[in-house]
Amino acid sequence: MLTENKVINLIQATLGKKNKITLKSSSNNTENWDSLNHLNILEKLDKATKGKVAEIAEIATATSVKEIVNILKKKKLLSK
Amino acid sequence: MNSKIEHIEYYLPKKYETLKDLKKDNPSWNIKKIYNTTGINKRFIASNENIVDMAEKSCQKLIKKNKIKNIDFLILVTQSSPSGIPTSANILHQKLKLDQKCLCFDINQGCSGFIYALAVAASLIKANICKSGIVVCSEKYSKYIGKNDSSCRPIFSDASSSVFVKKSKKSKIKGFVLGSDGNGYKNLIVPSKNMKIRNKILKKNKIYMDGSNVFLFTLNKVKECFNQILKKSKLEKNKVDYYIFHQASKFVLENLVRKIGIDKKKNIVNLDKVGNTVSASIPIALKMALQKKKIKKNSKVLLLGFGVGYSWGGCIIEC
Repeated sequence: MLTENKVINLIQATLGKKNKITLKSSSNNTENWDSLNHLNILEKLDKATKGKVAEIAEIATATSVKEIVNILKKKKLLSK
Repeated sequence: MNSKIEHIEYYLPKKYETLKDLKKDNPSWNIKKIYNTTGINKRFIASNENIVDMAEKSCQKLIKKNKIKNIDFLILVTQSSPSGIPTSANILHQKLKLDQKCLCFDINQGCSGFIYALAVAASLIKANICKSGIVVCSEKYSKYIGKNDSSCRPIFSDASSSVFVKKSKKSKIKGFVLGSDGNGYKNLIVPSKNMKIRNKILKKNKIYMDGSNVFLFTLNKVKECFNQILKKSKLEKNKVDYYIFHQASKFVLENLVRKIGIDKKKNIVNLDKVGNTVSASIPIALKMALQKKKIKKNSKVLLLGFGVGYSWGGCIIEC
């Protein structure tokens, strides 16, 4: 199961080392977080949750780490 | 009465754009990154032609090359008609000088449109209303795309495909599954007036695509549709020889292969050569694969279209 740290690491790996990803990171304050990389984040989250993320429509428009973490928590895909 | 696909032809406009051309208009675009995601380098642009002109060219090619005489129906799939009234199919009917007994109409569907039209064609034959006819998919999305639209401009390509469908002793088109979900209509849209969606102002007559939402819909729905087609056709996954999905983008197709769990080698892809030609993408990919003998005779091929609407549809054909 995913953890908050694993989600941050996964987003960090997707976006590269240019920006340090934290819980406060979002597409507004992270240079590489554009629409193409958002697709890559969704793909990696889907792989990490064995296909569960594709079933959560609201995650498509979640463009901050906090939003993503909260949605995954709500869907019980994140452990502490 | 059963039906089969007898012949396929397609038309691509002379003018095309490469990623280098896009870079000239948009110096800030990361072309390498775009190519890695879309898998598309070349997109065709119908600058002086409308969808009826393109449809006429692919139909003429189909009719002349195969000496086709009996055309009982003409179904034109398009979302970029030059006029609201009459249907583009009627204009095409006149240009092709078809018989008055030939029924014709448009189907307003996007990337699933070929499957929808094929299902209607097969139904017309099954009901003994018609014996044979043409399904044309002709699309000019370029007219809706702004030059700085990084979501759509690197993907969509203009083209037309024409497919001759006729009655057959053996069932060579089967297992139709069609569906739609209007909840997704705002995620791929050309608004008729300026409108606001999720804090974004959408311009009148310009296409807007929410790539993330469309991507998640695709991952979810295509797998479900795929399994329903197999069930309806009473086929195991390993008995299907090839798969032709709507040629959305490299990223989408690779994820579908992963999600559904199919052999990558059986998945037909022609994106690099023609781009995403909307409803024409499946017939063009099928024709190219047949020409290259990538798909052999008597092969079972699963066809599956999905996209705008949302809408989806698929079936199994025997080549």
